[in-house]
Amino acid sequence: MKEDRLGKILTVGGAILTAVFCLAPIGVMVLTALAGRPDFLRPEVPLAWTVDHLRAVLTSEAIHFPEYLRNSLLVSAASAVVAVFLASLAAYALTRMSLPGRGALLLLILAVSMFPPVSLVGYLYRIMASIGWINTYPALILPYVAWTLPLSVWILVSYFTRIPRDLDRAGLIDGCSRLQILLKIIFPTAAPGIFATLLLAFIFAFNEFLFALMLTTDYSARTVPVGIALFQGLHGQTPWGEIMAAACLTILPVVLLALFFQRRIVQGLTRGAVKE
Amino acid sequence: MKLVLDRVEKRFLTLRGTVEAVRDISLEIAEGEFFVLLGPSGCGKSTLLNLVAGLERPTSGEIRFGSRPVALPGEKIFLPPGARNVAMVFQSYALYPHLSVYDIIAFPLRIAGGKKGKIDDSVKETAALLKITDLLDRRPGELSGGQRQRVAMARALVRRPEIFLLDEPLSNLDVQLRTDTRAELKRLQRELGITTLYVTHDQTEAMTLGDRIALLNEGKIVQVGAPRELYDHPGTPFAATFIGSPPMNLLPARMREGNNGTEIETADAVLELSKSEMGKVKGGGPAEVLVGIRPEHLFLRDKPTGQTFSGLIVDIEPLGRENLVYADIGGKELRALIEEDRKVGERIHLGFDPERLHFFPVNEPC
Ligand SMILES: Nc1ncnc2c1ncn2[C@@H]1O[C@H](COP(=O)(O)OP(=O)(O)O)[C@@H](O)[C@H]1O
Ligand SMILES: [Mg+2]
Repeated sequence: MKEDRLGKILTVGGAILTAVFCLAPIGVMVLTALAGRPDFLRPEVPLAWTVDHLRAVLTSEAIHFPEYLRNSLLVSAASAVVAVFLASLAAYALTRMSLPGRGALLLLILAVSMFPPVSLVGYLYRIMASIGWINTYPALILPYVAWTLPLSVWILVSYFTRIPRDLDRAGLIDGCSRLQILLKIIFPTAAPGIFATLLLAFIFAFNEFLFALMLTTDYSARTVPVGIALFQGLHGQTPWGEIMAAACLTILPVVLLALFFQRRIVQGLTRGAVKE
Repeated sequence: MKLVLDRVEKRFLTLRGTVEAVRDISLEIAEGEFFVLLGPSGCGKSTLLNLVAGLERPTSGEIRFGSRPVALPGEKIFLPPGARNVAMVFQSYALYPHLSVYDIIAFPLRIAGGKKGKIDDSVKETAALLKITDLLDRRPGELSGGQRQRVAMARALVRRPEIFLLDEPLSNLDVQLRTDTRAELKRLQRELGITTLYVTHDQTEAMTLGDRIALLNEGKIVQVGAPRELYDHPGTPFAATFIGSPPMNLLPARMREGNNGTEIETADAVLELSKSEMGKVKGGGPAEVLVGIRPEHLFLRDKPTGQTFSGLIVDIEPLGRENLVYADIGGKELRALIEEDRKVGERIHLGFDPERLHFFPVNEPC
């Protein structure tokens, strides 16, 4: 069939185009990190490979990249765990209680998350400064929790509403308290959803820039995005090779997480889409 | 354990107004009795069951297990389900999807903090009782509907509850399995002797299972009695048509004194009942009545008499052993179960035993 083949060609072609479009910046990033010179695309310059940038980023005392990465991982993990735990309590109450204004409350939660961070960061700075938390982990974790909470609540509400109320009732009959129901029945049943939400909250915090820029002053709490952005201040010219090498190392945890848990994430996103 | 409901009411406040789900229900269910709550969908059966379980709080009234009040809003007494030692089987089965069958059955015992060895014994014993020993390692997702139903029963029975609650437990099974499970459930309940409250909208299930049945409609009790009582002496037109399949024929009629007794004028027939025959009929009195006769109590006559309905056959449903005949009697449709083969369009005469007639006041509220 001619049309079948045409359809196939278009589908595959479209997929390739999309993939190239999405992956090209990452490709450039990897090439720049490994190339001897940042202008490696110019034909008159011979292409040379090097791992100097990577080595510099990982070992140079002046760059502090390992510290930034450690800060990022710790802050993101802590805020994701706290946010998802709090969000799950809220989502459980929201889906199980007979609240008259449930819909309005959910919209309000969403509205809160629409605040542009830049409108808050000034006051946040003053608060953190006055309690002496500037350049500490809690100074970042607290705003990140607040910032990722609405999104987490929304995702978890959509998961929890899909869990039949009869499971809660069965739990009550079997002698569980509400907290036991949440921990022993709802959490395991919604595990893919909880996991997907954890991952999302983690990535949100991991990528955050503005709060981290304002609330940290040096490598003892500064996160990777800010660290990379401030690379240029260290030397006279923009050190593209080091910046890209650091960026490569930074996306590594997220890529690994996604690859490793791909099945669970997809399962989490599609669960309940069809009748089981 | 005896179960007593005393003037129990349950109202739900919703955005669209108040829903009176359960209205003024008083019942006494004896120790070891198999009691069925029967009624159409939305009549408040599940709500009543949830009130007994402790999943809902009554708006007013009292619920007692034996002599112990478990819900008495007036004195702020309310025991949560865990403190009542009730077990429940849900229509959806509500099996925990992440646990194995073994862990599901053990779940209530573990929550109660039992010893490991004892839990193991109880789980295995109950699994054997329900013939699911070979399923203990599986997850609910790997079980058929009938197997899930058994696991739900096992989880409920493993604690040896004082009161056993079932909310339409068989309605998700296919017909053959439903009939088999019904018989087994009845046997199991007898063996264990647990006071049982069983909710269904299926009158056949209610008739075959129940020691007694409470027929509900719109949150109220219509009639309580043994299955045979409800079938033989329905108290209202609602009870008359809800119990029995196919449902009882109900015809508006006028009664008047005739030459040889009472004449009942209905559809285009005039039925003549002698004095002695009228004596056996309960409730005859007002001029305007509803007269009821069950399809299985009508039979063929060769020719019209003073006690026949005559009309044309409009439809026939062969049921195997019998035929369900729809006859047009002066504009009213009459259902009759007869063994003879007849054809659509034929004229038939349907006789009856006057004792089988039921009379109801017209416009009586259900
Ligand atoms: N939680 C609730 N909130 C509001 N109305 C309810 C609730 N539960 C049940 N109802 C209403 O109470 C009535 C009885 O419901 P239910 O007991 O489930 O009936 P059944 O089990 O006999 O089908 C219905 O009109 C139903 O809409
Ligand atoms: Mg129901």
